[in-house]
Amino acid sequence: MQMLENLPWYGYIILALGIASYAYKYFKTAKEGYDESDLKTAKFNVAQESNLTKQEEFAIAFYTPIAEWFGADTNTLTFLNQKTSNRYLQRWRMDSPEGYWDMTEYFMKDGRRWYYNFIYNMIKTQPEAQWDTLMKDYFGENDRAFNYLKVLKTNKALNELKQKGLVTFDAELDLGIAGYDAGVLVGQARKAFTANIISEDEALKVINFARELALEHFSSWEEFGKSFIIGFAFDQQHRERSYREEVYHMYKQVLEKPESPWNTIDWPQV
Amino acid sequence: MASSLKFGCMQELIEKTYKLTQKSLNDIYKKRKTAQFFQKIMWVITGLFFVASLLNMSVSYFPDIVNNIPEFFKQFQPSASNPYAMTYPLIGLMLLLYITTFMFTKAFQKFKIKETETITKMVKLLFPKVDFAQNTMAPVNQIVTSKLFAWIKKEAPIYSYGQIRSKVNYIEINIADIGIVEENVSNTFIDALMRIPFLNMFVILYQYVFKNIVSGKSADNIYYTYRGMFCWLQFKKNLNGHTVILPSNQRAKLDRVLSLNFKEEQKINLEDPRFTNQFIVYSTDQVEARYVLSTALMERIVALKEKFNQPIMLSFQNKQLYLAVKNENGLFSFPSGKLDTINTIKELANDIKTALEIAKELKMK
Repeated sequence: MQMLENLPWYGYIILALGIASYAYKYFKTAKEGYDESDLKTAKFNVAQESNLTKQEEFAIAFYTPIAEWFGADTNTLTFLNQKTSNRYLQRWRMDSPEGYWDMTEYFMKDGRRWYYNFIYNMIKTQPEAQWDTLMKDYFGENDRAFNYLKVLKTNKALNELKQKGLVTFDAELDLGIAGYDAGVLVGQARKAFTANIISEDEALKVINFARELALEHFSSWEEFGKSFIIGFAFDQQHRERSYREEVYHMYKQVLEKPESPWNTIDWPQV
Repeated sequence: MASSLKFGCMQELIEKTYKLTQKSLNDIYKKRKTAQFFQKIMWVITGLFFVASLLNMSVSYFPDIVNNIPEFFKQFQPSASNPYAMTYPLIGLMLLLYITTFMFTKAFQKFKIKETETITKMVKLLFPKVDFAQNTMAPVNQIVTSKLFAWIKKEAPIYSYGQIRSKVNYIEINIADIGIVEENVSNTFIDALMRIPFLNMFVILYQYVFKNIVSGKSADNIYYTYRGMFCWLQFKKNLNGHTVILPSNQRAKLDRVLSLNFKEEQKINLEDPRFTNQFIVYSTDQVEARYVLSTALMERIVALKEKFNQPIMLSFQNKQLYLAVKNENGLFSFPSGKLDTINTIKELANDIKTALEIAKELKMK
């Protein structure tokens, strides 16, 4: 302590700066540590009993990167358990048949591709000075649309995917995000069925719609996967980075691991 | 007729590209010169700093040295009146090192930015229909799966300087410019030396200081064990094993054996003398290797090597063809020396064009 008493005036300034910088670093690092992503290994669990047809199993596989994040089976219509499914549906206000069908009809008809297709084409073809007017004419006062514009305009999602090595060329964005919408439809149908909000027949009808949607747009798992992950990065920019990192990590495993449904189920050749 | 028309078209594009980028090429040459100047100065100062530190340390172990050193250095000897005499030159060198590092970083950044911009412009002008991206993630999976590099591991430092993707007649081809630092015999030996105290100082002096001072390469290109083009594309032959074609030299053979990564391979003895003089073939299956390497394909591979005018390596496995073409300067970086000649663009155009036409050249289906 005596040493501190004998410090010259500038010594106290240096000491104060040192303490402040250490405290800043400590709390910053502590926060980053808290947000650190939990990179899990994909297990591709297979239930002993499955009554799904090959076509249904193919469509169920659309949601694999996120289903693996939850740890769900790859070959059942049920999704983990009622509690987990309900918790998810509540967050999306889909925990009633009305809520579920409202959201599902929206995803069937428009989905996130409604935003993406318009904004992406607008950025590519129209001068920036006109974007605001065009956006308002098309979407009205829609905050979500303007947030998506920001994501596409700044290449936020694209750069993130490039950094992770999930996308290489800008032109890959031309694939659109119908793959993501199809995946979300499948995931939501599985969860709503598990939570007893819809019947098995209804869930399978939605899943079949997702299948048609994917087949209409893509001709391989590679194309579908790109579209899925572009849509995910585009739609989930408001979520914590750690969550996105976890799903990217899962996506890579779904693409690469030989036991993944994307490598064991053939993409139908039309 | 059609090919001469295409050639004429390419020639026009090359001339147009040259006209539009001539100034940038000249600028890149100057920027590279500046960056290399600071690179050398920075490493000379680092070398001096290391030598001074080594001398400083030696003084306490060998006090007799002090009596034998030249008069000039005696002023840096610590004494009762000037106990920090040795410290001042070290601080001075540190300061100089800080300044030159800053100058080098700035100059190198400017050079690389200009180089990247110009390459992008050139590729877009020469091949407007291909997808091109720079600063992409390296295709690690493909590089490891190709089995072309004896010492490669998934966690090895692999860098990509850019990638081209093109689809010709339903065949998608990817061309990347990569740099790899493999943990080969020489790097393993250096790593071992670096663990020995005191001796590691001399290793640093040679490996980093000396090499950087004498090298004419740009700073990012010095330590690669492989730099060049890496391509991959699909073909229809479904193979169970793999067949690898490497340049026929002692180093390739030794690397293959010493790495112990390819115990399942056998050397394949083929009959075509023109081919076997230039290449050595390893495969997991004698029959499959001969099925892949028909006499016609061997001839085409020899012709392809002549077209690239660089050592080439090929690998066939599971419906996939991999090709690596060594190029010390890299595909999407410029060679050292004067750049403002049309040959700079001709070389780039030739390398990309030949790679894009591999499927046609090798008559792959």
